[in-house]
Formats: sequence, C-alpha cells, structure tokens
Amino acid sequence: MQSTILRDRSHFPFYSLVAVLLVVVIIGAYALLLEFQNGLVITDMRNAVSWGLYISLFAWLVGISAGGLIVSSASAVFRIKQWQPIAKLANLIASCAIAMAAFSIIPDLGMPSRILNLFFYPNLDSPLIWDVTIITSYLFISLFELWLLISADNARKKGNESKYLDRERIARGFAFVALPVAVLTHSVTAWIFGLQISRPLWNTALLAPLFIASAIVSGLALVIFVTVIANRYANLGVDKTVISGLARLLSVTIMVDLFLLASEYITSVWPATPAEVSPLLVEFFGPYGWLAWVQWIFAISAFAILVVPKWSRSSLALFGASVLLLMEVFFYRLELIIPAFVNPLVQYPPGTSIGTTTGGEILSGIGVTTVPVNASAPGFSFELAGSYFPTWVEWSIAFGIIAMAALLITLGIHYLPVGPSEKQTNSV
Amino acid sequence: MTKLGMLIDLSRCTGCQSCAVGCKVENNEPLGIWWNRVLTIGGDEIDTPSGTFPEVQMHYMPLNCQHCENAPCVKVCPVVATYKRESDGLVLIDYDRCIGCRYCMAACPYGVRTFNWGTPEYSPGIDFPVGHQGDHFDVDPSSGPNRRVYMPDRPRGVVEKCSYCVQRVDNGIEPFCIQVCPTGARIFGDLDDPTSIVSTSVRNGQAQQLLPELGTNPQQYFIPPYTQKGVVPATGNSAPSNLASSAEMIELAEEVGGYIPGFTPPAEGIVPPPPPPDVTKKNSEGGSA
Repeated sequence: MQSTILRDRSHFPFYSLVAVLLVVVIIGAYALLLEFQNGLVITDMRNAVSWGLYISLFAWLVGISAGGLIVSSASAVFRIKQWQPIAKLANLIASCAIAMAAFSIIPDLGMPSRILNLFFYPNLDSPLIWDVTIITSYLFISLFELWLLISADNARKKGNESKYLDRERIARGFAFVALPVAVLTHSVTAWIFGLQISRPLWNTALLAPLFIASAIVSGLALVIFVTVIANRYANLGVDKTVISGLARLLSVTIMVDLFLLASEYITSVWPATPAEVSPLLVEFFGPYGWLAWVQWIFAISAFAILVVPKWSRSSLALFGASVLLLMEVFFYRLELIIPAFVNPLVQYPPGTSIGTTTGGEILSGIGVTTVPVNASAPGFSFELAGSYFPTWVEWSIAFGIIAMAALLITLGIHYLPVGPSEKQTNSV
Repeated sequence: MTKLGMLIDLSRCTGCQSCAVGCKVENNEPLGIWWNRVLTIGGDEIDTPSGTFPEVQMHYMPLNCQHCENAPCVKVCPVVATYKRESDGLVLIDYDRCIGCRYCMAACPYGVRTFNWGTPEYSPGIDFPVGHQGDHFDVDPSSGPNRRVYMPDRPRGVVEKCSYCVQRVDNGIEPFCIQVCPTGARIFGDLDDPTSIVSTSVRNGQAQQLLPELGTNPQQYFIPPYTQKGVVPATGNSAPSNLASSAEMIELAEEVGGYIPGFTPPAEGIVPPPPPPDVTKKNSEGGSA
C-alpha cells in the first residue's frame, strides 16, 4: 500500500530524476570507454601526482558508506529507537555507496583487465589487500543486513509475528558484526595513506580517527540529504524529529572532526621543524591551498546552520547544510591526496619525469620539439613540483560514478520498502 | 648471500647525463620515462648553481631505484608484482602481473618509479627497440615461476623502474650505468662480501644512504662531495673548494688501501665488479645487445 502511494505521488520527479542520472551515467561510461582505449594518459595524473580524483572519490564513497552503516547498525546495537525508522534507508545508502566505491578503483587502474590478480596473488602486507578484503565483506554484510531488515518488516506486515521477531533478532545480532566492520572499513582506507612514510602529510596516527569522524559527517549528511528529498518527493514519511535528531548528532560529529584536524595541525606546527611544517604549509598555502580553506568555511557554515535553532528547524536549511558537508568531506579527501604528491621528498631539478611525452625529449632548456603534443611546457618532460587538475574525462567518470550511486539509491527508495515501518500500534 | 649494491661518488659526478641516457638506451625507455635521472643540487634549474658568483655551489646526484632492504614499494604492492629477490636483494617488477594501481609510486620516498600513462612512444625515426633485446625472466627460483622482470617493450598501464639492469646482472655483466660512467663515479658489487670494491668503498668513503631517517636501508650509497677528506666549506671571497683535489684523492686512495672508486684504471686489475655468484650459473637468457 505504501509503495503504491509512493509511486502515485512520485511519478514525475522519479522518472525525470532517473533520466537525468542516466544521462550523467552514460557520459561517464563513454569517458571510461575513452580511458580504456587511450590509457590513463587522458587523465591529468602523471608521475609526480600519481593519484588524483579517482582515489579521492574512492575514499569519499567509502566514508559515506561507513557513515551510513554506522548509523544503521548503531541503532540496532545500542537500541537507539529513534533511529530505527531510517535504519533501512541508511543501510541502502551504505550498500550503494560501497558498491560504487569498489567500482571507482577500476578507472584508476592502469591494467583493469588484471584486477583479478588481487585475488590470485594477494600480498597480505599490503593495506590495499586489507581494504579489498574488508570492502568485499562489507558489501555483502550491508546487503545482507538490508535484506534482513526488509524481510523482517515484510513478515510483520503479513502478520507473521514469529518470523518477524526471528528476523529482527538476527538483524540485531548481525549489527554487532556490521558496526565494527563499518568502522574498520574506513580505518583500513585511512591506513592505505596513513602508513606511508613517503608522504609526511598522510603519515599520522590520527588519520584513521580523522577518516572515521569525517566518514560519520558525510554519511549522516547523505542520510539527511536523501531523507529530505525522499520525504518531499517520494513521500517517505520519515518523522521530522528523526531528522533533527540526526542533525544534532551531525553537529557534534563536525566538532569532533574539526577538533581532530586542529590537533593534527598544532602537532605539526608547534615543533616548527621544516619536515613537519612544510607539508602543512603546502596544504594551506600551496597551489591547492584553497581546498583546505573552503573545507573549513563549509564545515563551520554547516555547523552554524545546524546549531542555530531558527535555521535548524527548516528542512531546506538542513538540506543545504548536508550539501555543504558532503562537499566539505570531498574537499578534505582531495586536500589530503593531491598536496601530498606536490613536493616529493627528494626534490631537485629537473624533478620527476612525467611519464609521457610532451614533445621532444631534452634535458636542458634548449631543445628541438619534434612531437608537439598537448604540452604545457613543450619539449620538457620533467616537473619539479607536481601539478594536477582533473581532465573532463576524470570529471565525467567521477560524476558518472556518483550518479550511478544516486541512481541505485533512487531505485532502491522507489522499489524497496525502505521507509519507516508502519506504526507499531497499527500492526500489533 | 649476495647483496648487490651500488655506490656513487658524487665528487666524481660531472652531471654529464651519460648514465641517464645509457640507462634509457639499454632498457629501451619510452619518451618521458627515465629510470635514472641526474639531479642538480644547487639552483632552481638543472645545471645551475646556488649562491651568487663567486660563491656558488653545485653538484649532481644521480637518482635511480635505491633497492631498499626495507622497501615500502614491496610492502604495499597488493599483488606481489614488485618484490625483493632473495638471492641478491634486487627490487624487481613483474611486468606481467602489475595491475597499475600505482600504490608503489605513492609509497616510494625516492620518487624513482614511473608509470606508462599512455602507449609507450619513442622518438620519431626510432621505430625499433634499442638496447637489450628479448624478455628476461627472473633466474631466482625463490621468486616464483615466470617472473618477466625485463621486456624491451613494456605494455601501457604498468609501473617500471631501475632494476640494476637485471637482464645484464643475471648474465654476469655489470649494470649499464656503471659501464658508461666516464668518471668512474659509480661502482657496483656485492655488499655482503667484505672484500668487494663496493664494500670497502662504502666502509672507507664515508658513504651515506639517501633519506636514512626513514629506515628503508637502501642498497644504494652515495659519497657526498662535502665529506671527502680534507674538505672545508667555502668561506670568504675565494673560489669554492669543497671538492677534493686530485692530490687529496690520491692521498685518500693510499689510506684506504690503494683504491678510490673508479680511480685506478681497470687495466691494473681492481675492476670489474664481482659477478653475482649465485645467479650466473643458473642463468638461461640470451646476451645483451
């Protein structure tokens, strides 16, 4: 019954949303095809900045997913009654985000056809293998948990009380597995970066806690974002008190996140040793410094929206705050990944060979440019400091992946009963 | 055990780029890819000194894979495509297995790894592979079967780097950069053999590793120009004299038992570097070009 109401009310926005998302997905698929044909040379990544938008997107999606599942399983583990109406929705978001996070590794690979080597020849020392393992398990756990919650609901609707109680009990027990796995998923993703001595910006024990805090921020923000839209257009029927409860938790999490960041900064700045301070200077005042400033501005603005009572009562303001926070966390990922590559530890002229030809092949300033190609500095195939700005192919693939996640979530909301269960009083 | 190592005497390096070019030829490196770069330590541009005349300073530092004993790239490689060979400690890449995730490039503190972003291109007119011809498979059985550690035409989408010319070393020949260095700044051999030239030079030449504080423990060593015997940093208005003079080199040579890296002519019997004992016998690959 609920779903017929839902469909009746939502035909127009549902189909136009699906159409728009499909267009973005198709553009992304075309860009991905181009990349498979030409290789990663059509991205702007080169030997100096060798990871870019794709890896940032990956970390962002893993964070969103972990945040979503933390909300959904915490509601079961800690018996947080008021979160239960959105447990299924948060679980759906987590499943879609983690699936697309896993996918977002594919465009980053130089040899996507060899991806199964990850399973044939795993190196157990590699944090990447830990991540592959935990993300794969996490995907299945979140899908299974979603199925459990939905089938428990269905059983109750059909009046099968014993089956309902049974499923509910399994779901609750399973949440005890899902919660630590969700936390671990994002910790392992942080350790991919945080364990590397070669990048001082990453190499801090605080990175995993920072990733968890920002994951909860982005995960909660997306849950609010989706709930506000789905309430408005798909008649999801989530009570407003649930959203404002989430918003309160979100404001606390922002503060925890910013606190961790600030303590990371002071630990770097106070000793005033160049090795500690210079990566931070690059983060804030380097060519990509605007990312860090925008991140802080967005975080503080969103926090203001969430704590000023007049604003936080408005769904629109909450929606705006969640958009700001989603972008804030994405900027944090970019700000962590790109500046880390700008200044290598051994940095002397002529610098790093970029790995592709920009024209002729010369070692000093004078040379014959024989192959004029898309060159910012024709004929010189070295860069002293790394530079990077994603090409349209990278943007298209990234937005395609985000649109695909959004499409999966939209379809899930439309076709799966992820809204709050019928009021307990009705069914009993 | 054998532990192959290299020592570069920076006071002898003239920045001629022969090793960089020789490496590029021997290993058929495509445009934009350099396994071995000669960095200028001085000004902001290549071949420029720091300071103002007459107080200027400049020297060179060739940089290739450091073949670390505690190699970060080996630890992060998710598919064991990069691995450290047991028989002599070379860090190698299996070009058949690399998935191109570039985690090793993020993990390497020395920035010596390079990626085939596009289909490898060569200078127009050179439409044939140069340097070593034929693929080379690792001869150390403990590395596992079918480890294609050298191929003249690497595919798009894999990471590549200096292998200490594994295709030559496995045939008992020294790396090409050793052979082409005109000043004998580079020496190569077994670090585990206390009598080898490279070992004695590392011991006696105040050799240093690059970024030792990271604990990667490279098998590549440098003799910094400043630490040569009798060197005082340039002061006052006189021309800088922080490089050892020939007389000082000879004096030092006598101290360390008659040998200074590359100083004694090969004809008098100290060179060439010892062939790696374990691997030469098992070798099955063809010779170099």
